[in-house]
Amino acid sequence: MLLELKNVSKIFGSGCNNCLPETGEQADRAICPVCHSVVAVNDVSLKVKDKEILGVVGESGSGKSTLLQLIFQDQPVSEGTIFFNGIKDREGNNCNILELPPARKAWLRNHEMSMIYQNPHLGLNFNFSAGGNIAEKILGAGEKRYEVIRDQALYYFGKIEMPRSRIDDYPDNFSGGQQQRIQIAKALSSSPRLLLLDEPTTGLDVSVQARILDLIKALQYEMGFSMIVVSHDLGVINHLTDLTLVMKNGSLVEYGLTDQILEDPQHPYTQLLVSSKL
Amino acid sequence: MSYVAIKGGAEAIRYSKDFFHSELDDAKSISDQSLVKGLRYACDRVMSEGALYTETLAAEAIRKTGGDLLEAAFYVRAHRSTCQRIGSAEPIDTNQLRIKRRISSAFKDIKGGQILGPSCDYVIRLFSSLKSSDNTEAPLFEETDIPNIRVESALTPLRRDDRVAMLENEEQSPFDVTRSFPLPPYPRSAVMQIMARGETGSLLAFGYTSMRGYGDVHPTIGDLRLGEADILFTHPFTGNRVKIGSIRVTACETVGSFNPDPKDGKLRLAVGYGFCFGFNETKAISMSVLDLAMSHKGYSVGGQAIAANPEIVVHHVDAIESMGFTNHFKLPHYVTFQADLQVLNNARKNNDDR
Amino acid sequence: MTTDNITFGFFDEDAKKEIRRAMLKAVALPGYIVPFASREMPIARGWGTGGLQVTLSLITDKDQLKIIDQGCDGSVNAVNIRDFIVSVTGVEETTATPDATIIQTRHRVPEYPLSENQTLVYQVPYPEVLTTVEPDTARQKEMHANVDYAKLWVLLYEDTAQFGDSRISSRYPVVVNNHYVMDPSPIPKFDIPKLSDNPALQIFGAGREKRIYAIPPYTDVKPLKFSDREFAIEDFSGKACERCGSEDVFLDEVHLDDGVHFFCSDTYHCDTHLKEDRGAA
Repeated sequence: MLLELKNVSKIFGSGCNNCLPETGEQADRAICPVCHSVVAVNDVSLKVKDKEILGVVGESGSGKSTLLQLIFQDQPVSEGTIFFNGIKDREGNNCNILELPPARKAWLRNHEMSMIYQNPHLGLNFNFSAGGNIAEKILGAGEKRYEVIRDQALYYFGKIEMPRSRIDDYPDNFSGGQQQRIQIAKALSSSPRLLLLDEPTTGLDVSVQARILDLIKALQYEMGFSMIVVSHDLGVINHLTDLTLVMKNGSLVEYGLTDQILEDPQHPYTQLLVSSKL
Repeated sequence: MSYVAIKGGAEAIRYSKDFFHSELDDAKSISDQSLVKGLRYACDRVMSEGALYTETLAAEAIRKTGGDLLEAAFYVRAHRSTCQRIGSAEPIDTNQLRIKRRISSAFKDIKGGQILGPSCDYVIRLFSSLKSSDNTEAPLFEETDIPNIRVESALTPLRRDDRVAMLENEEQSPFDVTRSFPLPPYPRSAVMQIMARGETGSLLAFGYTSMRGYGDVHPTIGDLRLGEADILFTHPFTGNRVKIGSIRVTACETVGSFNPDPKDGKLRLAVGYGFCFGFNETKAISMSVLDLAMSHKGYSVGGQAIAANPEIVVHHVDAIESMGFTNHFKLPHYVTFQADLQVLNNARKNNDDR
Repeated sequence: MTTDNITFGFFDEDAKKEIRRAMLKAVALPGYIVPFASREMPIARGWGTGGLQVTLSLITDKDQLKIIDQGCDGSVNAVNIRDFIVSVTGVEETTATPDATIIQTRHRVPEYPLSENQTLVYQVPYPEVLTTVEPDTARQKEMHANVDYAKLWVLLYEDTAQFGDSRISSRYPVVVNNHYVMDPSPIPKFDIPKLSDNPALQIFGAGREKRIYAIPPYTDVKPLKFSDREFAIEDFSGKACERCGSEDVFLDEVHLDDGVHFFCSDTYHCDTHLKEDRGAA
């Protein structure tokens, strides 16, 4: 198993003992009626295997983006445990990565995982050139030879079908679609095991969207990393993923093969989602 | 019975003003001469921030305000509004100053020499005097006429070598911020005028952000000069060029990092310029650092730094304005505050009901 | 008030103790930046108050003091600081590098090799090497803790990609004891190799930013550099000091009416080299 989440929750606010039982799917709300905290992710457990592609759908506010941020540790988890790729503690037991020392957490983020954000300002440093952004990830993974870094940056820049001559340009000088491509090059340059994508094509032109999705799919096939794709767009989920997970009010309401979920949704909320989108 | 202070303030204000003036009665006995000569740096600040070169009125303003230099500059600004404009003098070339002090930290020695002149840079700030080898009884400096030293900027050799980026002159004639206020993109001449009139402390604070890491790090002072500049004017009737006086000024050129020049892609050093009335090195240096940050891109690609943002600098360095606005909060605001309270009460009620 | 009631070394003893404690911690953690309660000095911030505080809390009446600025004993700021320290301690001053027990410097490491009984005190404007890439203090601390210097490396990458080498001229980042990356104060790249494996204790004082850090004797110090790139120092090949004829030293470039001239930046080196030449002739 590459990634395993067990009973993971995220509460924004003071939090109380009523937060989890009083919110989520059954309660049909995400705000705790007692302490008014927002429960963004409520007791979610899931597994991702090697080379597997998991889609996460749900309306805005359902907690799907927060779930990604918890896995990438952009946000601290309130409750629960996360295991990753057999990482063990000193006693040889599978180790909750949330309890790793900061340097090892950084290592996980630099080597093993990458995130592509909807907003390129979160994923790219606009003070660094396109090449510098890719180099940052390669450097973070420990490479200290300039020629190797430059060659790799150019290699991944080529992978995203950008002309080499533009590698020293700054992100501001690229279009929105190109900025997403640079994010992809940066994310993949450390050869991660797991790629997290948060609405990677939302807000882009439809034709640009399709090309970026094809690019991601081709690279995944070639490099063989696992992915978790968050999107409110069932078209994106259908195009990219094998398995799908449906979230509502922070809870997981349905999980299964993507085809099955889109063809024959079981949960009333998924049925609503599918009927309104297709 | 308590009383409600609604109106009837006229008398109270008169008493308050009288009280204020009587508190400063002792200032009346300070002569113009003591202020202009003895407290010359105070006068310089008042002229510079008041944006009018007038030593006697600066002295008068300092007396009237009990030494509150911002208030004094405010008097000078207000007076400035009453002055008729006869015409524009010729631009001053600060290469042509009669130098009293000129240093460059970029070079050990320079053409014309490092002229320390009068400076408190190396004064030990202790109330007592220290035992020291050079602490002799006789004064070292005898008042002599300042010789007519004129030297080119220490950066001129680098300019001749084409190692300094020259900004395009994009303006037909300089903007005049006293006649209209610029809209973005702000012409450089307008930004420079606003800074030359700006308050020392404000320029210093914004310039310091750039020096401390929020922008182009570590400027080098290429040429800092204090001296007298002749003011030349074309006589409106005779048409002759005449010298109508001379003023003491400070000018500073600061070197930043190098970058590809947008003109031709060649690598050149970026230079910023600062200038103000009177002797005020802190102000001229700060201004040159801000000009450097705004007019050139240094290490800080993207230009989000405070000091590189003309929008921030243009609207926040004039302390006559910021002081006025800050103090206006002492005016009654009970109508707006009562409205605020109503909104608070309604919101609380709404939340409590929920 | 007269100077008679100023204590030896200007500070009260408690202030000196606090500064010494910071120095001890700095020595124990080579390259780590230690905050201290920087005192207001009678000279302005940015003029060497950090170095001055370090010197004043180390100095004893047996010390021999040398102060240089840009390598020069006669530079105005050096003279001024020396006069001040001598007036509050009465210690002996010297310009001879080998005779000095404490050398306070701005922007240079002396040309003459240092020895074990010497302390080199640097005046530091920017103690934090990460300032250029991350101005936020809390983030900087986190990055040091994680030995996360990727952003500095990216800066190096960008300059190498666009200009062939780093654009950093002075204050070149160094890795101390294979751990912390440190700002060596604005010394030229020419002096960076002298930091490593130096028999003298090197202490860095930043008064305005209230930080002290150190390189203990015989510590490994390396410039931050790609492993497949040479670290290039300032090149003076083909040039020599016009006064004493020295080569292989750092030279000042002076523009005068009759053109560009080169002289030793280290005035003690220049004087001694001149004497040796005359002695030999």
